[in-house]
Amino acid sequence: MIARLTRILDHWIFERWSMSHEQLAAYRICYAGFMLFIVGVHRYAWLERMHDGFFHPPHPSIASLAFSGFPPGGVLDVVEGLIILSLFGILFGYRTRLFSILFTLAMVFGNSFAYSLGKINHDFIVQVVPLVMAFSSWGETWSLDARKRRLAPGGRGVTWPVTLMSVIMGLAYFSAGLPKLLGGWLHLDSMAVRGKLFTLYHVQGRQDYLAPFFIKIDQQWFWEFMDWFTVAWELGFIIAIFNPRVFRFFVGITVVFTLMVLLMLNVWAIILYPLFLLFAMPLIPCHSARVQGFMDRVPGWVIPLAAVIYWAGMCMRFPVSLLRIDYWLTGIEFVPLLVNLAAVGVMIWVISLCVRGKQAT
Amino acid sequence: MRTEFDQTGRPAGSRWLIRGLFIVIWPVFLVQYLYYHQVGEPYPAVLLPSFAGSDVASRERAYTEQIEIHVLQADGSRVVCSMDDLLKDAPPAHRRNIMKTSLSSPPHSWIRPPYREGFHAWLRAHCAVFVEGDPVAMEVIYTRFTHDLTRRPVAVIGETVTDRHRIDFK
Repeated sequence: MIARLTRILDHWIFERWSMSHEQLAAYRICYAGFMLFIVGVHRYAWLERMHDGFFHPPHPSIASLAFSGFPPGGVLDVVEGLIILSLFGILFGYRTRLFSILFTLAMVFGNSFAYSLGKINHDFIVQVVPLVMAFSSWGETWSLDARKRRLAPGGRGVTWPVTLMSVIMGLAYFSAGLPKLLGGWLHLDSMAVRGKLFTLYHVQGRQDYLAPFFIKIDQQWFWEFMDWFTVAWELGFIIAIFNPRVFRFFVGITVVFTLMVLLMLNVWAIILYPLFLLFAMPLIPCHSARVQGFMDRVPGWVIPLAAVIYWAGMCMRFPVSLLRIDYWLTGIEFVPLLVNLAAVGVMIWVISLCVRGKQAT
Repeated sequence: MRTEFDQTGRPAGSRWLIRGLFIVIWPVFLVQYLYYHQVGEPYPAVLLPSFAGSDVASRERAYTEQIEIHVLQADGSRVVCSMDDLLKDAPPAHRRNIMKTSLSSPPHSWIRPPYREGFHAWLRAHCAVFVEGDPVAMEVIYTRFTHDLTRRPVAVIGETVTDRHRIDFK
């Protein structure tokens, strides 16, 4: 009996998510590229200007355990530098495991101060990706590390971290759905999504995209459907984690839902897209000898140099990421819409690959 | 056929560690979830926002909240400014939470008077930008508006001051 349970557990943990070394490596590059050049690394410099009277860190957190106020600006500068250096290390696959772990630790350290003023952005599930994936084989090819040890192309990668990330994502969405279920979202006389729309539209002035259209919708069945759908979708993730196909289906819904949230509520969550991409990677063909050929020609000093240039650009308020260019040029949040639409495009492409039988699902 | 464990050559003993991780994560999540709802939100945590505490609209009503900052001068006059003016150093997404956390009355606020040394001076210096004289106090007023969704256009049918938080700059 125990042997059978262990076999079932092993099959789920080690085999259900099957990815090649190249697919894992492609994901590594996409993740670091997205964080560096689309979202951009956040600055912590503004914390220097806040008085310690505002310091009220989450309990427990690194900030609450070891500090009684905001650290000096120099400390936060070092943290920023480590985050950037780690991301370039991940991008080029240089000491990949070390920099993957360092990235998550530095983000958690820095954010424990940024979140000490009352608002906690729930982006940890994205920041934890490198820490978890450090134990996959995402640095084994298409990397500077691979110059020392070449793997046979197309070999199966170490993918239990992908399963773990699916569990983390499933639990995170469940944590959002359960309070809704218990908090009255399913009552037929309440319209929670409409309430949220109303607040964002009238109080925070989020009136772009399709918000003016949705604010006029009076049909109760529509808003009740939105409430019920949201709760069912968020709670359903916990069951979906046991089957990659079902999980991908839920991730696909999430991509469409996130676009809908952007259009309706003008709330964007593009930070979550690197996480969504992880679960599409097994379906995306990745074969290229050129990438490793390129990595073979990259000297190691490029990584600290790139990190210094990036950090200097940030300090000088130069738009180092697409999101910054967005604020800089237009003042309108246009990039989130483009990223959302691109994600939907990727999803349709992946589905078409599956339909044409080019990839096993 | 046995499962291919680790193509990078890790020792087989670590397989139990990994299995243990997948088992332990469930009770850890449960403890974290209960802690969040009973005590407060830890960081880091595997959580996403629920918005379950948001004002829920009904068929007829929806609710919004406005925060106003009144800077008071010695002659009794007051100047109204916004939280965006006062907290311009902080990113916009943080400002409302900072107000609620630090500049509201219990039970909403996380910090209680007496405030930290220098906090009054910081607030006073930031408020001084909005008045010509010397500010002596600030008052933060939280107002909840009730909207009637059955009217066209949607109309405000009620407003209630839910909190007045005054800080004297001594």
